[in-house]
Amino acid sequence: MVVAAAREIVDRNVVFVGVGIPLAAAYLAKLSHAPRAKILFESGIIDSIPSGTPMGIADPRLAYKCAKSCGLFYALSILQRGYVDISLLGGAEVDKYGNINSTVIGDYRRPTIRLPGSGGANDAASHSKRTVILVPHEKYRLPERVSFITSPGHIHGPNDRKEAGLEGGGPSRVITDLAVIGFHRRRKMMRLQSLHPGVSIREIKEKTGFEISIPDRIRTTEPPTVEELRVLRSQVDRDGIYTKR
Amino acid sequence: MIDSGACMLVLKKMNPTRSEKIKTVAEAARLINDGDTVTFSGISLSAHPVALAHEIIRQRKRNLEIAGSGAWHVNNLLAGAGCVDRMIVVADSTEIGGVAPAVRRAVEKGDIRVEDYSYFAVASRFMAAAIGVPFLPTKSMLGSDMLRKTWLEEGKKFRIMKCPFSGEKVLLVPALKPDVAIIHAHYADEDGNVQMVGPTALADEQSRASAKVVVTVEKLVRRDAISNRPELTIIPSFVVDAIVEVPYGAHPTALYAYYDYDIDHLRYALEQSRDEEKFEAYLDEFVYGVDSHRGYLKCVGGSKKLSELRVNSRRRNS
Repeated sequence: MVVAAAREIVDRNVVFVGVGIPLAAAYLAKLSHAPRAKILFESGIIDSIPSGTPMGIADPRLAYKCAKSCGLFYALSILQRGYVDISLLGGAEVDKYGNINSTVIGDYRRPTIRLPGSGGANDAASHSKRTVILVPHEKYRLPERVSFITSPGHIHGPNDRKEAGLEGGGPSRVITDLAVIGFHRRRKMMRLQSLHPGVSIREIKEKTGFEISIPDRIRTTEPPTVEELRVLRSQVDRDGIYTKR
Repeated sequence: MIDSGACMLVLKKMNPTRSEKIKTVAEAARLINDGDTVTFSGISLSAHPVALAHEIIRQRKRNLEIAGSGAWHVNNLLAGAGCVDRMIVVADSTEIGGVAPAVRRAVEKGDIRVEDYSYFAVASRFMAAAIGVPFLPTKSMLGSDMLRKTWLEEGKKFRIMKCPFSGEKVLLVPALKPDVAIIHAHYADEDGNVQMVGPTALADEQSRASAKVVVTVEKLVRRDAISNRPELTIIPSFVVDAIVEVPYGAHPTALYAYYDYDIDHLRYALEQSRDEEKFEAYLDEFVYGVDSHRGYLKCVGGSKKLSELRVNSRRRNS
């Protein structure tokens, strides 16, 4: 998952991430094929250099040797101004239009489960040129419709983002531990792109809570290269916090 | 031409006696009243004003509204201690263990009423208040359920407007003006000029947005230290009402360039907060059972632990 996400980052991209797997993916990209990528965090860290294994978006390790430290208003205004090429986001629930829920499951005023809230995720999903979503592939995480749209994807259809007034392009990829998923160019619903090695279409259908669009020919996701794994295990995630061994 | 003699004369005259802004933790906490809207500086694993938060709990403040605080450990403590009945939620992710458990429990039980914003929307609300205008436009939150599903701020959360110049759609968010901002920073002088290094999150905007500003600092310094690097002054003195010197005032969170987070204690507090009784025991041991931040620091490992957390110039955090 980390490797597939890292590959989405193009060299020189301005990258916005939250902590967790998105961070590991961004650092892996920077240490391998995208050394000139500029990683920024909402806490007020612009152009972060990998150092140790950070545990949060305001971990001092992220700020050490960064290009600019600032406040949160400045950092998130970089998103609204349109500078950010790509955001990597996780979420509790993601629906077929790539809308992410991190607010509540159930009723807003009396939720079954209260989730952490948006943080900068809504801002990232609203303004980035593109968004890549990372989520474990489980039926309960991929419902037909999320309980609450915290971070808008394509909302309910192809023109919705534009009508809402959003300028960012929305999600272009969803990466799970089973597959890489894209979005139908016109209809803007999730469309399977490649299966990770050893994964069947049947497993995907069983573990997806909506009917996912499946093309006639599906590729197999390129497995991690030896070099990608080496960088990941020796530099990005030495303690194995984000990746299984 | 700068007349350094005249300059020195002015500086000497400014503080003939010890500033009345300097307070103890207890005195500073007494500036907060039951029912107040408070905001805390800090974010993620950094710079939460924990020492002051502990005192708020010890003084048994009630019915507070926490507005726009990303300091999840403080939010969690106050929610678990029963001090909070309203929250303008921005981010209660602990990052190391899901959503802040005491906050989650209180909201699910109906003990805390909420309103959710994106971080940039809340930042814009603080900025509006900070710069003295009644609202600011933004393009965050458009198309999200934060506009369709509201509670605490129902009816006054936002307006959608067509920009009178460009015709594009914008969201207006109203100024957010807390009664008290509680901030932890690196150092300040007696006048109340507050300096920080590293990422500052919302400390600047939160301070200017709020009616009263309480700042705890690692160290009180002299004016020259401030004047040597005025670009590090995040909050100028006339914004600040109270200054308290509290070394390690952000423990168990980190303070950039000063000390690392105490991950073991953070995890311990987090795990205890998953259970009501266990969290009461935690509060008894680390908050009610001590009468000062120094007492608390002894309980979490004393000078041995603190020296492990301290950043020194040779060993960077790694």
